[in-house]
Amino acid sequence: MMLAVKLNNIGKKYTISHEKEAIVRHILPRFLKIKSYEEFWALRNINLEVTRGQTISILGRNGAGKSTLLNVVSGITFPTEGRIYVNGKISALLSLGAGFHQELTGEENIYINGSILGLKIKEIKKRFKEIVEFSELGDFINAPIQTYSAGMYMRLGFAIAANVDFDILIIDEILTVGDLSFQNKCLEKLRYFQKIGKTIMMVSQSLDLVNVLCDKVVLLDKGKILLEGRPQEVTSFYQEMMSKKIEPTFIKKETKELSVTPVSGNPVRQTCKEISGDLKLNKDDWGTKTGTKDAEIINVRLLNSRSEEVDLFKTGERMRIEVKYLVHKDIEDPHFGVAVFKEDGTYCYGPNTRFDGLKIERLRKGSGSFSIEYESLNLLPGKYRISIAIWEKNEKFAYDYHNACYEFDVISDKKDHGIVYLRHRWSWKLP
Amino acid sequence: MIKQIKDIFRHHELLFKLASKEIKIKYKHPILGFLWALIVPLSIILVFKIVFSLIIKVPITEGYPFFIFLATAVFPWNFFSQSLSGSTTSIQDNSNLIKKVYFPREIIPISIIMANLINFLLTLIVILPMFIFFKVRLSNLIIFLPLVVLLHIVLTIGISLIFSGLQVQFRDIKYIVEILLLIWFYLTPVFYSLDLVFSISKRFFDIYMLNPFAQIITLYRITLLDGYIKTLPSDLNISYLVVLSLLSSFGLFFIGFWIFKRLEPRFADLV
Repeated sequence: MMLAVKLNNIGKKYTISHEKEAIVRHILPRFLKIKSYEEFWALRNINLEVTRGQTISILGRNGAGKSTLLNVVSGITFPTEGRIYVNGKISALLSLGAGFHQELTGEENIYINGSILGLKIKEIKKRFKEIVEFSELGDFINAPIQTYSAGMYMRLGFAIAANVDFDILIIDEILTVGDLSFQNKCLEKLRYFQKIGKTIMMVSQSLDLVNVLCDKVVLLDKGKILLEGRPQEVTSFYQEMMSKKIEPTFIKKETKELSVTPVSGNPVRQTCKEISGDLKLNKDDWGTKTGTKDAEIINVRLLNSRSEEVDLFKTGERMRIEVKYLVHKDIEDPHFGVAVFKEDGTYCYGPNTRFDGLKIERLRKGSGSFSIEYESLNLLPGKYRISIAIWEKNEKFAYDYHNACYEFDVISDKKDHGIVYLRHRWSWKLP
Repeated sequence: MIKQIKDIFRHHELLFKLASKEIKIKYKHPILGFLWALIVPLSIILVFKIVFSLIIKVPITEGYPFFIFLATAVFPWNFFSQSLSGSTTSIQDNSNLIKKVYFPREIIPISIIMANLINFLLTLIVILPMFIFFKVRLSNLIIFLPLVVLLHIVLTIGISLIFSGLQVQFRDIKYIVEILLLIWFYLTPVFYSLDLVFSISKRFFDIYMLNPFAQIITLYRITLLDGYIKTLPSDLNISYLVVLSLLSSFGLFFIGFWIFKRLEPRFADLV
């Protein structure tokens, strides 16, 4: 199997300046070292392989990064990080009729659009008849295209593009426009391309089309690949995702930094019992960090089974939480705690080292780490948050307590109801 | 870089299609259509003749009627200034192309220059018979005119690439270009003679001649007007002028191309 396209850890960062960049706004801050714009990753950590002859579709809601992905593959915009390998000539159909000019005739526009798409004048001349035939324009070909209906315009655009030589065709949501007969015609043409072994990468919101046409579907969300697989599987997951309005978050939100200044002798009281007593928690404190800071949590990482730092897990997947901390003052008999909450506040699970019968003699000044591993994360799909704490020996107060500061999402390819997956086996006796 | 420049030639068909599109659109609606490309320069030269020979009688300097002297510089200058102001915003104006199709982006500003070039060549076709009509002796050096035009094109492309690339990132550039063109016009010997500059001081003259358009315009006059060479300040060495012009044209071309290519990757994100 030969690869047609390979994306290696592709990331695309956009900077959003609130107005157009002006010299003053762009250069001055550089000297003053102020950030005058916001950054966001339209794509991150994209790894994707498309083999030759494959038809793949990219799915995802608006703003998921689908078009950015196609743009990056077609070389229109450059990735901020990562590498792209393209094997073959690309024809990118990101819009129909690029460079069409309203006042020029269909014929003139065929030549302009054709050369923009990379056709030689000679080739256009040779294929001219075919193009006109496919577009069904007839005598209209000599009229300025401002007299065309939307359908005619579209047909002409597609007719030219379909006559460009390519190995890899990239199509961005153009097949859902136009009337049924036009759609069928395009579909027929795509089928023909498939038959002669062309590679196709497309974006389409028509799940039916995706199901019948594609070999592989990639579901993008917030710039990351959420799921990759056979069309039926991915489209049905996508449908569910859209109807449930699950909001998988991949991009770690900046947690509010509410630093509480510890006053010695009057530590912030926050006991473990208070938490465990009530299963639906007051979410007001979520995202806060409190404690005496005698020990300080400085870094928390959620790792998946491949030890990659992620915030998306599958039901049943291994999860490991790694915590790094600093100790500013020697501490006797502390214990570590980790708690998992559902987005609605439901307290799911909260082990700590004391409950588990483990004893930590002493934390000395310096830095350290601890980790907890869930062999199998049996949570059902949804959004979750994690609290991390280092407690005083009797849990009278916390040295550091990050209250629901860390988010992750759980997805599953299986249907289930409830909060947790309990390993089970059915058996029955029928009457 | 050589490869990238070759890439332009590989896309010459697209270049000409885009240039002819510019021209077609320009002359599509006027009833006289393409004729305007000939009528406008003709009218300009007649207006010059009337104003500067009949109304304001500018004394004949350097053996030529002032309006001829003016015409030899105004049309080349117009070619440059129209090309520059047109191409500066060209990337932005074609954002629909930039965002949807990939081809070397310099094709767009260069196609604007090509469209203006065609206009300029038509102008030359009209102007030269007019010179004969007004009994101006054309120089034998006119055989070198195509080379001067070539230098002029190379120079124009270089400068246009710099500003069209920068304009995408800094939208203020087009206003700077407007001001720059005005200042540049006065720093170029369009309506005054080099003698005048030389009479200020020799040093000033040497610096003044570093202006690529002072070089180009002088070369235009040398190749067009018989005997113009003799009227030049004796300090000005013609071969020095030619070398200087070659250096500045190709130098600016390479600088412009380099800057443009550096900025190009971000175009699609910025337009």
